[in-house]
Amino acid sequence: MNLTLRVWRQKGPQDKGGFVDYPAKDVSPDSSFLEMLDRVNEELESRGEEPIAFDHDCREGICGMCSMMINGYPHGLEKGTTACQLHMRHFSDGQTITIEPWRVKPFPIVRDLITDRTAFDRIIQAGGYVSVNTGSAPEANMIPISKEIADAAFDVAACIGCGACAASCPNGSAMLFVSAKVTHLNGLPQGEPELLERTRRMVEQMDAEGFGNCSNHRECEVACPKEIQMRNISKMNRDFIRSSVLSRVFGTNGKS
Amino acid sequence: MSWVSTFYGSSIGKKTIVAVTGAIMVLFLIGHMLGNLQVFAGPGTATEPAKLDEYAELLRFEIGILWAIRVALITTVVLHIITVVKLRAENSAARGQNYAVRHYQRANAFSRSMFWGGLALFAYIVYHILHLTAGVAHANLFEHGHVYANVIRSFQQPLIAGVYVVATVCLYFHLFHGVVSLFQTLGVSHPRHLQAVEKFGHALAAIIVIGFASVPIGVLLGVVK
Ligand code: FES
Repeated sequence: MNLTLRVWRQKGPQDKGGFVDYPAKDVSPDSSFLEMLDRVNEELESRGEEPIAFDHDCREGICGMCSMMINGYPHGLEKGTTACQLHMRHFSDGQTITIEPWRVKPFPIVRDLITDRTAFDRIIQAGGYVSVNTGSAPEANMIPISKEIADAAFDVAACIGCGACAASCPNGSAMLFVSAKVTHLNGLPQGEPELLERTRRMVEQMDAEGFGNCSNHRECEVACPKEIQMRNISKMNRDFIRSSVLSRVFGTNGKS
Repeated sequence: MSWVSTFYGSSIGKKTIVAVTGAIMVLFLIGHMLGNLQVFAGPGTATEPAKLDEYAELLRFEIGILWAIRVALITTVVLHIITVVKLRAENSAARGQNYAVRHYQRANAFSRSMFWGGLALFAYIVYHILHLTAGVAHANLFEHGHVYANVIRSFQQPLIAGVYVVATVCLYFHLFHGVVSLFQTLGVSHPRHLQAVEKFGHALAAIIVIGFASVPIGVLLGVVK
């Protein structure tokens, strides 16, 4: 099939940028979205033009690098799919596809479709870890974890930090990401001891990075390629209130 | 007490304030709406005043308490608005340039009308107080202490009744999204209950709104005179 791509081209962070149209000819419906872009880039290179810069790494939906807005949907319209796992059979012959980078202030555009998402790394550094004493490896089954708790942790651990939540949010809020990371660790016995500190620090870092505030438009939930649910935001809110109000007022760990 | 300013400075802290002040206003609205319904008890007789006037008198039993409640409510409303304005400023600062093409899938008329719809409601509240509390908006239709007569005389004017009905429609939109969000923000929501919470939001908003709208509509239709 033949397509027209309207791609955002921007030389660097300071450049104004704009859309450029490119034809994509003889696209196989079996190819992935990124493979389609690869072929367009090969053609551009053969003509001596600058290829379209886009991020990618694993191409199997687990690294979260391939971030782009496809025809007005983060990672395209397919549910629970990253751009690299999106197949061209979901598009129709003759279609024009608009491709844009994530547009949210804390993710500055580096070039074309590539944004700098280190804001997420700094949020993780603020508290997205558990402190463990070093030494020989502990016995694997030393801490029993029930199936429900393990399942819930796995559900949120699926977050690949792609940034689609923040990019899709009308308020530029990253709360789905942060809540996934917070509840992942807070729910496990290994993470529980640092629950109060972790929640407070990660939320503070999220705010410091300049992300917006959730007002429950629920766009992130449909945008998320890993289908992380907004219940995690609710849980994070609860833990944050516990950490910054209840533990201060009652001087306890905020539990009672 | 530095934790208070830290909390208020944070995103979730401000959201919590909006949720709690919103909840207080919802409780007030329920009481206000139930009080209003006494208009349907009629104008009273030569010897007995209208139920609504009696009720209004009851609220004034101690002027100090009345004013304490008024100040508390005004503080709640002001805190709600100031906090929302702050949140909204942060949100616009967080957004990058607009997408050339963007299709929302879940954001809807309810969630997207919160800010401007809320401001419209605030303007309405100011008008409403000037009208039926202070008696300056339509001074010719107003007589201090005669609540029942004031209500009837005002709502017999289609324009005034119309403004009140439109305001209740705004209120429906604001209440529905507000009530559902309240549970999410305060950390008591769960997808298993989301549908139930949404039904509750619609039901509560509908009950409050129908209760309020019934008064101007009832007067306009001549159900109460
Ligand atoms: S390239 Fe790794 S998730 Fe798409």
